[in-house]
Formats: sequence, structure tokens, C-alpha cells
Amino acid sequence: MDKTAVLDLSEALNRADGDRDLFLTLAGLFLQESPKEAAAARAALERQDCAGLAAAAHKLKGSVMEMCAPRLFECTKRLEELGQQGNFAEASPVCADVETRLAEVHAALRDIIAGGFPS
Amino acid sequence: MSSHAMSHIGQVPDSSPGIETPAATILLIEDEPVTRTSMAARLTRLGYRVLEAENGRAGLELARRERPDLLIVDWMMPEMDGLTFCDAIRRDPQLKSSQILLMTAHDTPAQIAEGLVRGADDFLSKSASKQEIIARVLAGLRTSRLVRKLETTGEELKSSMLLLEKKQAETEADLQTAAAFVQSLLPSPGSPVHGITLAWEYQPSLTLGGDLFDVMTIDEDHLGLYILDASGHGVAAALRSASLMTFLRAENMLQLLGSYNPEQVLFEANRRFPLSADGEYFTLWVGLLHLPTGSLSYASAGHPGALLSSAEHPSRWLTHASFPLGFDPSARFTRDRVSLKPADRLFLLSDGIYEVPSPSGELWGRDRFQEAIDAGKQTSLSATIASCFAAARGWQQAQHFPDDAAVVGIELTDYREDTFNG
Amino acid sequence: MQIKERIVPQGIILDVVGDLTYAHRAVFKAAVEKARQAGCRNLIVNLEQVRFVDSAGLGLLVLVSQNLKLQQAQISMLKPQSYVREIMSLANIPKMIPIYEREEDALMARAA
Repeated sequence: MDKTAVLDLSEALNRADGDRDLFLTLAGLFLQESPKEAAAARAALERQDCAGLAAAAHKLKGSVMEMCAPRLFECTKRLEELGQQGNFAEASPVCADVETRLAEVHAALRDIIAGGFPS
Repeated sequence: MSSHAMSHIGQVPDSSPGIETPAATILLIEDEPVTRTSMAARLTRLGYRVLEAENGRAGLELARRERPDLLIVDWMMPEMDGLTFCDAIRRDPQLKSSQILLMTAHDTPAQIAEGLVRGADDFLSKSASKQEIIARVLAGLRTSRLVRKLETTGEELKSSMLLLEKKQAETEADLQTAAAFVQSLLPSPGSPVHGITLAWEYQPSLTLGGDLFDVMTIDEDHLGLYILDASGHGVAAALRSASLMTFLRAENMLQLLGSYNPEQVLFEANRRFPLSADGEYFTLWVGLLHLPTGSLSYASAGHPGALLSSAEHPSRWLTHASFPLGFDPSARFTRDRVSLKPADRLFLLSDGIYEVPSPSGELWGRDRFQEAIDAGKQTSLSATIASCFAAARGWQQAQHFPDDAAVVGIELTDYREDTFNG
Repeated sequence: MQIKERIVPQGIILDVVGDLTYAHRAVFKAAVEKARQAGCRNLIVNLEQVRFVDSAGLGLLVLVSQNLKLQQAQISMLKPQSYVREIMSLANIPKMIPIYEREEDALMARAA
């Protein structure tokens, strides 16, 4: 997987066994669910709930994995670790990173949904 | 959910070519929707029937209802995580042998160890390739089929065993009833007529015995006696014996012959009971005791078990070589006679009482039996018989007799007062 | 229990090894039937290697004797061991089935 990319589309399609319809379905789901998951992480961080933070980050990480978004994946994974460690100080900026990169992935997905797959 | 979630059911990939088997059912328990949808789609594409649950509790309910062939459950879920779910499955008697694949984000050895302890059968990484998924799922399904087959066989075995035990119990009960009936036909000990004491002991080797005997009042002057031995063992021999016993009843003989003369009784029995198709036969000793005089006439068809024990003389066997019933259909049997005096004892016995082997294989034998009888002359009739059985048991160092053991004792206590002429 | 069949001009000899008992009755019956179907008139049962005969074995011998007599054939016994001989005597078997100590004597005998 191209670790610098926002979204590794070829890998994601591969993961869906080349089924574009399936990928589009999953993308739609992701757009729907990921904001909730990110918000849950932020809320847990704010009330200093490390278990809640780790769980929310883990859940988000799972769906990110399906989308093959490597940069978002890395910082979500980092957020999960920090949550497990109870390291709220470091978790705060990482959570911000997650939110930023999530927005990037959302944009990329919306492009594909609207404009079709790049050839 | 989008209609793109496929639900077609296809051939299970691992089925043998040409053999149609119904698609295996996989229950997928994952709280994260995107992951769940993705995994469900991939499994469905592989040809499986996929059921989905969002959490552990819903998963348990679905598992109980549908009894899937394989369960794939996520490690980390809120409320009930994967490990707790495994606990619950293993505790459930209906589900405990289910195959569980635990989905992990990354497998660490510590995670795997814990998963195995808590009840997972195998692990599947969320980033697994298609090949890996297929491999793990196939392995899980194969094991699941094997386990189910074993369980079914186990159940079938159990119910077969129960049925067998039930039948055995019924057969045993039937045998007990039959044995009780046969026992009721045997003479009651005590005194059949004045001047005679009767005692006997009978130990069939199985519930039903093939050796039978009787002491009957023929008329006011005569006592009829016999002992018979059916060759072979078990129920078949016992049934044949019962049949001969019926034939030998006093009423029957009186009707047939007008008397209970031993040689005539044997003649009739010999004609009536030939060798069976398997070569089974009877040996039989018949006696007729004239009560006023103590005169005993007797005849034997191959049965060597009659011993006369008198107060003054040494005991002697009342028999000579003769054919068992059925050996020679036209045979005639010779009648012998002996006089019984008061205190004389006549014993009728089956070979099962003296053909008992010691642990080293030596038979107790007729001579030692005779000694035991002679040793009991001063004791009562029943005590003498009891001591014979005790001695035989002591010889073989076992309680149970391998062959039917019977000893019948008749003691002449007195002649009938009014007819004795000295 | 094993039975070996020896066919000689004067008859058929069954060499029996083992116990002639209820458990082995099928083997004995089969051997006799085979000899009978071969038209044997003089069947000799060699009991030299037989340690024990039970009531079923006795009965079978008598049954065979009766059946063979119906076909003008006969059965005889060869070299029974002492315990077996005793059992036979008690049932008066020698009066019905001849017992021989030497094979030549058994072979010389003819059906009545």
C-alpha cells in the first residue's frame, strides 16, 4: 500500500475483489459511520475516558482499514494506542490529526462517488 | 443497507466435484458496520450463507436459532467482547462444540494464547488476504462437520445403548418369570406322603435350568420319581426340559399307560423325544417306590445319577450303561429293583454337582460326592444335601456352578403301619 | 477345532484336532455332510487328538450315526482318549458306534 496516499484506491478495490459496486457501498457506509466514530473518540478524550477513547479509535481504525487510507490509518492506530496508555496529553493533537485526515478521505471518496473511478 | 449486499447462495467451494451440498452457514459478529459489511460480502461471494449480528448478545440469539456451521467474531466489541462471547458459547450445552474464528486487528502471541484459552478455535486477521480467509474458513468448516458427525454418532450410539439395555432388562425379566414358573413345578420339600421325607437343592447355572426333577404321588401306594438332564445349555435346553417334564406328569402317564412303571415310561419317552435336528437329547432316570413295602423299581436312559445310601451298607449307584433318550428309537429299557429299609436314603442328582473342577482343573467327581453323602448319615437329609453343595463349592472355590447342579433326597422314615408284614 | 479329510479307497477318515463341542458343531456337521455327499459308506472319525467331547458332541455323533444308517453307511470312531472313552461308555455309545484302536481295522469294517 502506498503509505503516503490519502486513499489507496487500487488496494481498496482489490480488497473488495474488484467489485466496484461493493466498494461504493462500503464507501457510502464509511461516509455515514466514520463521523460518528470520530466524534465518539473526541468525546471520550474530553472526558478523559481512556477505555472509551481506545474503543472508539479501534472502531474507526477498522472501517479505515476497509477503505485503505494509509495516513488516516496510521494516526487512528496511534490514537488507539494512546488511549490504551491513558496518555491524554499526546492524544489530543493526534485526535486533531485524525479529524483532519478523515476530512481528506471523505473528500476523496465523494469525488469517486460523484465522478466515477479514475481510469 | 444497500441492496448491493449480496445474498446469493452458491456451491460451497470445498465440496467434492459433482456433489451438491447445501451452502454452509457462517455467523458474523462485528459491531463496526463497514468492516461487517465488507467481510459479509466477501464471504457471500465465496458461496456461503452469511448471517450478521452487531453485538455478542444478538450473536448468541442468532447462533441458538440458526446453529451456524462457523462463527466469526470480532475481538473487540462494546458490552460483550469476542473473548466473553467465546465464554458464553462454550458454556452453552447446545452450542459449546461450535467452531469459532476470532477476528483480530493484529495477531500477537499473547492475544492468540488468551483467545485459545477462552475458547477460540482459530484466528483471522482483518487484513487477511482472500486466500487466507478462504483457508481459515474452510478449515473451520471442515472441523465443524467432523465435530457434528462425531456428535451425531455419539447420540446414535447412546440411544442404541439405551435400547439395548432396555431389551436386556426385558429379557432378564422374562427369564425371571419363566424361572419362577419352572420353580413352581418342582416338588415342595417336606413330606409328600406319610413315611417319606423329601429335601432338595437346585442351582441352575443360568436363570433357567435344563435339569429338572419331580416326586409325585401316583396313587395311595406309589410314589413316582424322576430326574432328567437336557443336553446343551440355556433357554433352548430349558424349554426342551419343560416339554419333557409335561410329558412325564403322573396324570399324563396314567392316561397313556395306566401306571408309572419305569421301563414303560422310558419306552414311551424314548419314542416321543428323538434327537433334535442339532443332536440334542435327554438323559432320564425314573423310579417307582411302593410305599407299603419300600420296594423301588427303576430304569435309566443314560442318566447315571441315582445313589442309594443305607444305614448298614455302603452307598451304591443304581444305574448301568444305557442309551439316552432318542439314541435308539426302538430301544427297550431294563427295569431293576431294590428294597428300601427305614432310614435308607435315595439321592437323585445331576452331573453338575460332581463335575465341578478345582482351580487346577481336577473334577470333584462321583467318588467324593459319595463320600460327602456317607459322611452325612447321622445328620438330617437336608443338612446332608447342604453339606454336599458346600463341599462342591469349596472344591471349585466358587459359589456359582458352571452346570445345573441338583440333588434330590428321599428318606424312608417308616413303612406304612397297616401294610408292613415284617 | 480343525478337521482334515483323508480319502482312501475303503472310506473317508476325518482327523479331528481340538474339542468336539457345541461351539464347534458347525465345522463337524460340514465335514460330515461333505463326506456324505461324496457317497461315503465308511466314515471314520479319528479322535486321537480330541481331548473333550460334550453332550452336544455326543449327540451329533449319534445323529450322524442314525442318518448314515438310513443310507446303508456307517460311522466308527478311532483311538478315543481315555476321558472321551469314559464319556462314551456312560452313554452306551460303543453299542451303537464301533470303536477301533487301529486304522486298518476301522477301514476293514463294512456297513451292515
